[in-house]
Amino acid sequence: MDLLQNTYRSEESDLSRLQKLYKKYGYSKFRMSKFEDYTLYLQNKDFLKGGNVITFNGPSGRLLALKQDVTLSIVKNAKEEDFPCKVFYTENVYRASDDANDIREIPQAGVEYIGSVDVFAMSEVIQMAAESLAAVSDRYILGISHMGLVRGLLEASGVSLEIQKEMLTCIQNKSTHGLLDICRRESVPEETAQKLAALSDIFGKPDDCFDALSALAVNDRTADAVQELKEVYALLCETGHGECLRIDFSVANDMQYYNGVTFQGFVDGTPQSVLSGGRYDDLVRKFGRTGGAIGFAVYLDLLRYSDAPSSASGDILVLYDPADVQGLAKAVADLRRDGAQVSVLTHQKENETHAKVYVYKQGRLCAQ
Amino acid sequence: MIHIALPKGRLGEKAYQIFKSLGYGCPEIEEDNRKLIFKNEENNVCYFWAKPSDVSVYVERGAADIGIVGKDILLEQGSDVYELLDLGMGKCRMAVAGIKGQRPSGDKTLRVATKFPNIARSYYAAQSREIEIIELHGSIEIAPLLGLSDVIVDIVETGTTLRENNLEPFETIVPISARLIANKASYKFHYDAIHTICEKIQAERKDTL
Repeated sequence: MDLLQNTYRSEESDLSRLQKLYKKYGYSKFRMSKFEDYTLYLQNKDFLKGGNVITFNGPSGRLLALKQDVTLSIVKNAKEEDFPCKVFYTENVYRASDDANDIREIPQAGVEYIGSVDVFAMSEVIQMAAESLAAVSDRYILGISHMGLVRGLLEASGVSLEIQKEMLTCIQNKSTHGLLDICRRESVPEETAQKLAALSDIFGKPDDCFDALSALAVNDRTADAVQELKEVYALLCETGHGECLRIDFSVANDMQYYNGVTFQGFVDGTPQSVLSGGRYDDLVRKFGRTGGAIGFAVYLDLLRYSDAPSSASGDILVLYDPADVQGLAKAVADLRRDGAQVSVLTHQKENETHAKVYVYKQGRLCAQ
Repeated sequence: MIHIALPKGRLGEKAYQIFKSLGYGCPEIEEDNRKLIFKNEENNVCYFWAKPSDVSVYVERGAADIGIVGKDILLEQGSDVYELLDLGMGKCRMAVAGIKGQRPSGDKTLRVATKFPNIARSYYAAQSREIEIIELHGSIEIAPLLGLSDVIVDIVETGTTLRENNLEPFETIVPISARLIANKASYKFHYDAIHTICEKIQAERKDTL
């Protein structure tokens, strides 16, 4: 029971920190129903990240699903006259395991920017991704790649789309040997094979990788992709957000939907990526809109694995003696009026940390 | 400290010898004791033995930063890990085999006995072949001999067991060997240490080839 309470509390406070952050950037909240048309998920199956859709029949016999993804619904409902559409969400999504024995409710937060995406808009969304990680952990890394370079190199290999997908899986798994095996099998020119292998191997701070990346370009499109990464990085450095970035093409995403920068966030102590995002203009076009989009989702359920202390805990604990409560309620109300989260207890619980702890004594709050 | 999951058995012992030769030795692991986890603070490594099919679980969930595992297990479990190196050890192949000279015809549902249902399923799905999986956990070769299945999908090393039982391999599905895998988050937070291990292994493999 304690564990459940702690998990719940942690997700709640992570959520509230993220909401504050996204509002600060001028994003407004998007709310959606628990249900969505099943066909939306069926037609965009490759966009969905893992898990199966949970379906049921609606009142008129229409096949509905418990919402499995929020981005698709936001793009579906975005109107061109409202572009740029800047929204964030905090929603639960529902997924079933392959054997349907395990149905899960997963809390998610995310940000979507839909409209004309320029370098500044891109860097701002990536900045928000970096700050989302900073809000939940002291130690984090944001891996970044560019689908323009990945797709350009894969197309230059001259193999079918099916084989390109196989190669992309190798890049995502950093299986350079596997990638080279496929290149040999498919008689990919040696120079392209070596460039693909280098792409799969590359990992490091952007400044240390840009020269190597520039050498991988095979045409204008791939050169533009590297240039865009450099420009985004330069803007992120201006606000001090460049430090957590690593060039890493294992975070490349689906080729059908993603066309620009893609990124994944990792926090120390959590074995998987806790944040995933990227530029997905092709999805917007699939819905018949002109414009682009970039966004990301934070998987709050995964953060429970992380025991890294959060630097962003902004709450206050007030300790009191039950025999001395006169004026306590007013003193606490004054603190709350300033926007602080205040918990009032007779003693501090073990394993709980607070940004500030006060002791209430004879009408006064004294810092502990 | 880098946590390394080794598969119990010959492959794991061979892998440990490679790590040792590269300067990642751990005297504790070589002692006759009942310990389960072996640390060497000096070399900054920590080893533990795991059932071969569990290695990728430990790595995927971050209990180990890196591990040694067969490609057969990676394919079967579809683990979300980095597959950094093909170590070229424990070489064998995943194959379809059956009774010598009795290749099953394509006009009926194929009964496939195997320890690797996911590999078998995706192999035949790519051929649009209707199959019935009979999942077994050992002595797979007996299945076609007793009429339990038409074929088996299993690992073939030298083919001796098959030959001695009047069986033969029909098709190779995929070559198998041991892989060095890494947890995706650990790789990023311990990049220097893991990258150095990879480089040393690659350099040693080049020397021995």
